[in-house]
Amino acid sequence: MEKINNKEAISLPISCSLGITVLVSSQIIASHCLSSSLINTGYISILALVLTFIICKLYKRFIGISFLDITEFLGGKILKFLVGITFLFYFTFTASIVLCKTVNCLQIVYYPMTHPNYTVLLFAITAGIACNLKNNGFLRATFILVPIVIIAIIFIFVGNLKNFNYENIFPIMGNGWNTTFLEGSTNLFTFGGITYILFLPQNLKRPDKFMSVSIISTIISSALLTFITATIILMFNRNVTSGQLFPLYIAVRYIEFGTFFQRLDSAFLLILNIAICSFLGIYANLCLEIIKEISSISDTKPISFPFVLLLYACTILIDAKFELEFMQNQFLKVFFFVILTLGLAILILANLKKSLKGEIRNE
Amino acid sequence: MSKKMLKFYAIVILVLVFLYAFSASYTSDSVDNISYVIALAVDENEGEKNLQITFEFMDTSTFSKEGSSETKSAIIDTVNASSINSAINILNAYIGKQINLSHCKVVVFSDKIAKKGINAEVSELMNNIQVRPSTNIIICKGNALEYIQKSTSQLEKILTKYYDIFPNSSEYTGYTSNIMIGEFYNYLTTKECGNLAILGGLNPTISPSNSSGNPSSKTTGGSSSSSSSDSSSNKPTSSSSENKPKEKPDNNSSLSEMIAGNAPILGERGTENIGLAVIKDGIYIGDLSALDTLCHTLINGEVNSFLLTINNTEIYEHYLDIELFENMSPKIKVDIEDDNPKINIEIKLIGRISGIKDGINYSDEPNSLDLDKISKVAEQTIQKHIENYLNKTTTKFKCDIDYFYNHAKRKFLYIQDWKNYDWSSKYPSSRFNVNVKAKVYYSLLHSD
Repeated sequence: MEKINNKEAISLPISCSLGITVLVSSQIIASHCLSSSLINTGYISILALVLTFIICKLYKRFIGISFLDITEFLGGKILKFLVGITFLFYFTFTASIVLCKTVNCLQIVYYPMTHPNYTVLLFAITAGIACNLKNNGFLRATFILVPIVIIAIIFIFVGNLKNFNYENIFPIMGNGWNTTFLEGSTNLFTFGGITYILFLPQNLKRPDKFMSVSIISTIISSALLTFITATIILMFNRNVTSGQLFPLYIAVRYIEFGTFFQRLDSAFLLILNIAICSFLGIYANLCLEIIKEISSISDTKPISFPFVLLLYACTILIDAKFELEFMQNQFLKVFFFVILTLGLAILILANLKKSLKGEIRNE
Repeated sequence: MSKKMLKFYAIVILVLVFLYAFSASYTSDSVDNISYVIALAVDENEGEKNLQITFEFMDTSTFSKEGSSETKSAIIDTVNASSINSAINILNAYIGKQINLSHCKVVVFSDKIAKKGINAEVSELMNNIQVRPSTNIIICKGNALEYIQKSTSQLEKILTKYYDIFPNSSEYTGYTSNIMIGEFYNYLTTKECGNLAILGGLNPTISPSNSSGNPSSKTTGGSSSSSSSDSSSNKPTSSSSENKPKEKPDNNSSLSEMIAGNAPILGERGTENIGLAVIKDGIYIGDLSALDTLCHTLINGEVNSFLLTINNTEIYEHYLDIELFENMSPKIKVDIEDDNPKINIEIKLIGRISGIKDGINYSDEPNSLDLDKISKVAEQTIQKHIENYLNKTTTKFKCDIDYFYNHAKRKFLYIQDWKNYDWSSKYPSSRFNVNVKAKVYYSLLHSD
């Protein structure tokens, strides 16, 4: 991957979080926390910001070095390989779940007679093409797309203002402190961009701006999560938030400006589909980067389509063999925390090792 | 084979695969193969197939280059089935095109079927991706089929546009409300409150054959079907006896009694939409009159302006028409300190005198109008109406149809505590404190 400037870099973690937030996590937050969803959103946003800050601080002693190289510094090539494989599996799995959810929604809305495998294939090929674009084409596309998606989300919020029932945020603590804060902290998985941040420094043109890039992207992701959750929770009760379609799409269906400006859901779904293509492109590219680092492959282009075939296989496997709800509610959450803990542990230990080595050298 | 050729073949194969894969969905959703339903009516049917479902379509072939200059006829098909989905299935086979509900503007339930419960039907519709949440929901006093047969407007040639705009009158009359199926379903699945639907009725002065736009009607019942172009011969048995013109009920239809079907209207259209239907646990339990509906829309801040006629000889010897506007959103507070919730409602209005029997210059003595006195009388009148209406909700309907529970929820920290409070059982013992403030101005354009 070529070096990227700060603005492009900000859009990448946002795009990673957006796919998960719109399709998966906003529904989970709204259905679990109910009336305390907004408090939970604020709480996990603060947690995400703190974590981002910690990651940036831990990275200060490794400016411009890739996360897997730090892992190698800590535990050698074997650890680098194991960590790389774990992260590779996580990113592939996350991309598959988001793709699976997208395809299921598309099948309900537009393609009732088309087998979902074909739609998955279409998206997988798009991700493959994104990986093969020259001059970081997909990154630039993401940089253009993210503001469009942000505007769409704000538009959905504003367009539905007349449909909001502001009393839906009461009882303010919802199902209790435990659901809102303790169990609710597991909703942190919505910030998938945090895991992406670990792999960002080596790709930045100006690695010294890593902290500002990360913090800004987390703040924007938090704001979007708040807008999405607020739209859902102020409009619907539990019956809608636990349905098969993602609630933001149902919210768009309520937007009407007179008798002329109606049915904006199609436009939203179009924007979302393009955003999902970009999301898959980012994840696929990241996975190829990891493969490149843990193996001796110098050019990832020849393996881009074999990789998207893996993504395709993974998605249809989840669709066919597993309960999607269980996968996104339980497995994705647990996996996110394993990855986050692993990432933080490696950075902390690498910092300690560097400190010790420095002390020895000083002695 | 060169690399370029391989790439070319791969792309061609992929395109063919996708063309094949998506063509089925495209074919089924192609505009040519779809017939769009604009209204759906659900009646009761005796027998195993307990629903009689009527679909109204626009005959798009009659659309001319002149646009909306001529009245477009509607096509009406009726199916006897056990559910809406099975009715769609049967009718799909009958009409040869796939029925699509994405342009369905209204869903009408007959009062008979609504009294038995419409939970299942509304859930079925809400789970259909084609049904828009903005579809209006109507409970019709009488036959739902007849309602959509008679739903035509001389002023609006295109029927779909008429369906689009007819609930708008709620904003400037307050005699009905723009109730949509999305919102209806949200409240239907909330245990704490009752629910409301638009009340529709048949105008008894107009016979079906007299109503304009006289649509062709066909009935399909499972495997057996009958069809005829004469709508009157295919009416359900309950309505066939109503073909002869009727007289309006002999009453003055005061606002407190006026509901759809007994409004003092003589017109070409055979339907009326005045008042609201009260639903509790999915079952239709009663009606709100025009005045009750006005009170409901006032409490909920739904009405922009409305007309109040005062007939009080103390302030003026004849009637006074006052157009009132909601100055700001109503303030509602609920106290739940004991088992009898205390509900405080504060409504602020401004108004202008828009009609008096004799045009006078209000400042000329001794005929001058005391605007403060008029404001006071307006306040008292509205307050009395609202109190009567609220007492009706607690004593007659015994359910919260003004969604006060939303305000009561504020007092609780946890959902479990709120559930334990059991608002629906407490609401009937609620006490109300209604406070209306009105400021009336004189604003006649011409006076003597």
